[in-house]
Amino acid sequence: MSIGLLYFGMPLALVGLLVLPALWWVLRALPAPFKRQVLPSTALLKNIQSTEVTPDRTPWWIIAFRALIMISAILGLSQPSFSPPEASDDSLNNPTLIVLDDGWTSASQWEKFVRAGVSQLRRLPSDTSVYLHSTTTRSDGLNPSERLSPQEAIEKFNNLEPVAWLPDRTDSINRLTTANISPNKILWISDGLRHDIIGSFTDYLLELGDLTIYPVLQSGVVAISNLEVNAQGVRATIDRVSTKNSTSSIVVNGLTANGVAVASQTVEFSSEDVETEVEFNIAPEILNSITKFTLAKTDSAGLVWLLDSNSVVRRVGLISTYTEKQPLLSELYYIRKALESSSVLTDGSVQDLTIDHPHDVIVLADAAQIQSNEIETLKEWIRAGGTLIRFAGSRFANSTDPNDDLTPIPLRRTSRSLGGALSWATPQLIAEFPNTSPFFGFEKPKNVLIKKQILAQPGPEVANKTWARLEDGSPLVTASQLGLGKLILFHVPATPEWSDLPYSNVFSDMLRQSVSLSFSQSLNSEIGSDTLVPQQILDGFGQLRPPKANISPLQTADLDKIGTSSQSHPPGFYSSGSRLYALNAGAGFSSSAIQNWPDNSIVISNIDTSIDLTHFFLTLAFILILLDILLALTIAGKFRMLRKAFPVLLTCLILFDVSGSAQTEEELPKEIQAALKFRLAYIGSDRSIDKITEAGLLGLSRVLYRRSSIEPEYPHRLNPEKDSLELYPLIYYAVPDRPWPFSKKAIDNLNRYIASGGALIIDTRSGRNPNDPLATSWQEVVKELNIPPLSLVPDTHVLTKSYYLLSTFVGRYGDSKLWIETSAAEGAASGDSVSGIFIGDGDWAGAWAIDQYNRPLKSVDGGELQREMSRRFGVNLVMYILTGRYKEDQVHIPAILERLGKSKELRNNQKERDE
Amino acid sequence: MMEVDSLRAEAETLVRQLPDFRFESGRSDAKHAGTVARRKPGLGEKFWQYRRYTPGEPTTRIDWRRSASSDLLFVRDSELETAQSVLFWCDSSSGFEWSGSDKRRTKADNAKIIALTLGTMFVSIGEKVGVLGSQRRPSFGIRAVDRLARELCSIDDHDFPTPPKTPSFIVVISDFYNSIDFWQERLRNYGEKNLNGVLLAISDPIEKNFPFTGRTRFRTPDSSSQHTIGRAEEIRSDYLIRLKEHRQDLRELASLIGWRLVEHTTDSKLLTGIANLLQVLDTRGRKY
Repeated sequence: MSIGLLYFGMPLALVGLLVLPALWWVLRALPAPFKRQVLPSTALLKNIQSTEVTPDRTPWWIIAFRALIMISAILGLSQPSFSPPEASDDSLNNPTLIVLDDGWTSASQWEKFVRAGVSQLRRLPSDTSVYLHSTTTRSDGLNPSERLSPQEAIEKFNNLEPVAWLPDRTDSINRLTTANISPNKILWISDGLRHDIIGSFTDYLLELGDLTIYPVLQSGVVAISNLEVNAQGVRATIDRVSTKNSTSSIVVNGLTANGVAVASQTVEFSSEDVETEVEFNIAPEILNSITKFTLAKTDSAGLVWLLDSNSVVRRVGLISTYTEKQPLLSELYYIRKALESSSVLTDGSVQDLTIDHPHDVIVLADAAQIQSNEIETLKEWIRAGGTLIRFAGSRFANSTDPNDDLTPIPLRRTSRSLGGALSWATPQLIAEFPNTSPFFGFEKPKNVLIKKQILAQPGPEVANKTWARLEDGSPLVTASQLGLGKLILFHVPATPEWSDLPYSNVFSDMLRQSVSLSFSQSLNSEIGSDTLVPQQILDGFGQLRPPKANISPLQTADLDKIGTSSQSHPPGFYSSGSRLYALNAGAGFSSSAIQNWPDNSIVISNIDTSIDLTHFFLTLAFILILLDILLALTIAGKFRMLRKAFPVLLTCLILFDVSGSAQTEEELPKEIQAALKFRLAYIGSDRSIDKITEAGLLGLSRVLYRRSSIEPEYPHRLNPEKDSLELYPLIYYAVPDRPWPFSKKAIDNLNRYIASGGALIIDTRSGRNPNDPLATSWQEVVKELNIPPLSLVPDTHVLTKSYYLLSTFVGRYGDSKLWIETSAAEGAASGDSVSGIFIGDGDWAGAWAIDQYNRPLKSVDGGELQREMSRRFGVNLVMYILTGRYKEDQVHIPAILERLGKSKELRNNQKERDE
Repeated sequence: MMEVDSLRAEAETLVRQLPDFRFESGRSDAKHAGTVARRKPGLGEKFWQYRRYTPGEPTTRIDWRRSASSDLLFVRDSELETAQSVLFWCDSSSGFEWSGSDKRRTKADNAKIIALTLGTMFVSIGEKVGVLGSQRRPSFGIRAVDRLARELCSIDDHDFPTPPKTPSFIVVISDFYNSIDFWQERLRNYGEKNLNGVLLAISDPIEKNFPFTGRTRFRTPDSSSQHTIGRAEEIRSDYLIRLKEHRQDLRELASLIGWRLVEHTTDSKLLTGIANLLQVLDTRGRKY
């Protein structure tokens, strides 16, 4: 609503002005503040009460003053803004069309889009016809044929949100043509990007009417345009649109479903770059928990890349064989070794792995016995998308089951022996991998000899289905598509019985590649069609939402055709059964900035010339209220009291001010403190963790103070980026539940600290539940640290005797383990090395933690005895760090004791003789 | 609160300003205002009885005139008379230690000066003075006044003392703003013991005039009770009636036990107050 040149965003608040007359009446009716009088004869007044109450006599100017406060507060709340009149004559009723780019490219600066539109609309006379048009195709959007008043249009604008797909200019032209409107003026609020077409679009708009263009986004649209998951980790492609040559750096995070960032990388754009790539080295277990990659500041759908089942670590089922007594001869041993780092492995029967808990991949070793009815079950499972990896072998060769056609190609059911006593042929090497094979690109192993294999029936399709062959051309690995799934056969068993293959690296590479091909390939294949139902949908701002009813399911067969997202297929997660498919908004995004605007259009750089008065009025009201308080105090004669309180207030203000800006000034005393007095220190993380760690270190300090000559001061909390770590002999790091990776600078500082003789104690606090997925996430956090080889503390290590004699290093958890540098663990032979790093899971700080009354804060597995043991460990640890291997000298103690004992013995003998 | 010495000095000044007050002449009927007849034979001036002379008594005691009228020998006994003690009690509550204006003395200081002035005068005519409920017995002499001054300043308000065993004249000084029942309870024993006394009610002019206006919250100085009045000027007449009634009740209470009530306001001259008090004492003396 606008009155004159003032526009009110919340005109309803102006109703509050009606209350003003009531203010007068209310102030009159209020009783005056009572005077306080001392009267010893007060008892006589008992039960006397006056019928009237003296009304407050407020001077008129105070009422006027307070009314002014009310007026400015009400005006402030009604969000006024002052729009200077426009130069051109808008008094004419010029039908106006506003064209808006509302794809996800606009999302990050959406406020500007809305403000531009609204401020333009405000300036229009209220009888102007306004048409709104959005360049994206959306059903809930703006209908260009709908004639609106400026007020209605503003409401529409305010309720509009960007969509998670890109503008479609071609379709825009069609829709505008259909609407058949003839506006005099056109305002195009543009994101400044080319998208599908540009020239014909501007031409079309110019034909329609006078075109004014307001490009909101001048530079810096960023999108994750591609993201590949491979065995090594993740490679993400980041695109940007930049009209200026500028460098910038962006942080990309991998987030788990709970929003924990378990991977983080900084992307650098050099001045010319439009596209850059970033690689994450992520362990498969961690990768599995990541659901999306986003930029640190996520406010657009294009900055979110969702990870689906294709990038999830496969669940591999191993069909159980009978119990093996010799593990090195067991096939499953080699298979496990090859796959355990990259996949989740489970043992089970065919029934378990296919029907009860369908797995992505099943490995069928030669030794596994399957019934003929299970063959059918397996086939069904493969058709549904499973990948069966089968190994041939002597059992397979001797099998006479005619129904067993679970092979990619027909086979000769006899084994071929190479290089035996009765054979002319020598053991064969593996040939170069054919370029049709998924193994293409693997290095050809030089010394892997195949002594025995199962041969294929020769046929035309054998060559196509062969993934690996021997130098003589006979197939080693064959594969075929069956339904949605795959069947892969290794023509040798997974034991070294027939070949050296299981010993070699290429074996595990081949297996991993086979596993990683499962499902992803089959999903994109044209065989069969599956319906993918939307699960969660990204909105334009990059937030996941439940899908709306009008979103149609995806057909797997259409996946290739769809490519990018649109209204009918917005980006998000789609699922079919347990499979998840992610459609990403930024996929394949490459749109360049519009460099040249049409000559006969007006391009403006700032549309919003109105002055927002909201803050002015609210601030005015606030200042007036403060004045009013002063006035009231003065009138009530309390100012003398205030004057007394003034120094206190002033002190408070100064303190407040100082605490606000004293960050850098406090550093100095802290460093001096640390340099003057020995104290324990810890790396700050979570507030809750910090509290316990600090209490723990305080508890340990007290113990040290009481029991030893170490007299530590209060522990310090450190920020590894800023603080001088070298001042602290040891630094404790309790890994928080949601670890956030250290910054580059922090890692550098910590590395320097450890290298220059510091001691870093990393407490994963996971002793109770080592299977917790987060138990390993700390590794991500400290990945960049230069951690030397570690080993468990040996029984005879100095740590067991540096102060107390200890056999275990218990913390809160009884079975805690402690790892130190191997070089320090090996004993005196390695010289004077003292471990600079201690990694354990005992939650020691938790066991040491005390409150202000020296009472323990947390329970300990083994009660008070264990708490005492853990304190002793703490004392030993600090002693070890401070005194090094000094106590190793005590190894001579037995000899000294023995000598002492001997002299005693001698004395005793003397005595006996004397008697 | 004033120092003991300045209280004494003030009292001395007042005593000197009372030259015309002829205490002696005021008790012409009862020759010794300070003494009391004990209604038994003993040392005294009043005739009590004639009794038969018992052999062994000094013959000088024989009243020959009476003996001459008969064959028997008579001894004239006089009634036993002992000096009377005057006991003071002075309220020490915070309400009493209060003055409505910085320019006026507190009610308690007024009370103490009056008590000391009276004490000095009584001592000068040979009475014993003391503090009611004190461990020390009432005594004569100039030192008795010193002691009175000290003890007046250290009265504990909470325990109103029980009546003394020896016959005494009692002066109770307070503002008496507690309820009538309260004071009745305190003074009941005194009535039963047939002790004589006077109540001196001292009040501040503010308490008498109630000059308040507007919305006011009243409280006692010790904050034991408070009361908010919407419009103080409106209840002024009510208050004054209450005060008057209260004084009337107090007066009736006093006369019930044979005592008298004397009022004094701190803005009037102390001399006036003392004069009023002495007048009452004279009246009392005239009864005998």
